[in-house]
Amino acid sequence: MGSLSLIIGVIALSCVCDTINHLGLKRCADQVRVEITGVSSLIRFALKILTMPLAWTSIAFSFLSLFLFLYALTMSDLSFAFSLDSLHHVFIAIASWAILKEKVGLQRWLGTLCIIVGIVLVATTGQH
Amino acid sequence: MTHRRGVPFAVLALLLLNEVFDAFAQFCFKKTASSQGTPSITDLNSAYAFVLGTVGQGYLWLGVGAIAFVFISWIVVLSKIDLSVAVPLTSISYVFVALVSLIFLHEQVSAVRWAGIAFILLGVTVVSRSSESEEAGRS
Repeated sequence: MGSLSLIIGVIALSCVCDTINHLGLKRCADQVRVEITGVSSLIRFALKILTMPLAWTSIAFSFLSLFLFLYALTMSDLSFAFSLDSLHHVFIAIASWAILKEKVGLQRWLGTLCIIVGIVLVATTGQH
Repeated sequence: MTHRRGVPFAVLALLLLNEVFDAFAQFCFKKTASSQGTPSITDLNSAYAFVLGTVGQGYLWLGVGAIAFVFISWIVVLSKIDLSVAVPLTSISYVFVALVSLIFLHEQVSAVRWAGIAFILLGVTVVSRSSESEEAGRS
């Protein structure tokens, strides 16, 4: 194990990058005004997304997030890193509420926290 | 759009398909990486040689195709539901992995792990129920 604060910092930064990635993709999805009814409209939808600089910025952030997580893995146990990575659910909920103005009510928060508890239980119990 | 609770079935189905393709892509990339034996990647040159060796692998391109599908289907999902609903729902993949490990790989799944899976399933259900047709305001 490397320095604990460094591991936590790098994983938190990875979660921030992942959150930026999803925020960007959500913005792209909301900006594309193509009603998907069949294959041809789906292709038009996809092509439109791929011409958006924001989509490519998001992809870059998702790569950055992955590299940071892999860097953290070189210093940390997989179970610890995986548990801590579930932090991105908290960041997503906060960012969705603060930036996208989504209504994140008590029920959604409770469900999200429930998922985090589940991920930590799954991640820390090892193979058996 | 009518006002209704919960994530529409079609969106849920697409999300599940998204997770399955994501897992398939990881499987393809693992196959690609394994095809190179155990290379020692120590500098840029050996890293380049490693990448060059994978280019001819069919599994690599199968994986890339799967990732392209995952990317597009994910944005389609995002165009339909809230981000704060979509991201938590992706945790359903943990349940898949456990079931696949149990059924196909005959791995042991401990009681604590089952408890974790139950928590994830409960959380996913609660979050998806909290989705109150955000489409009502749009389209």
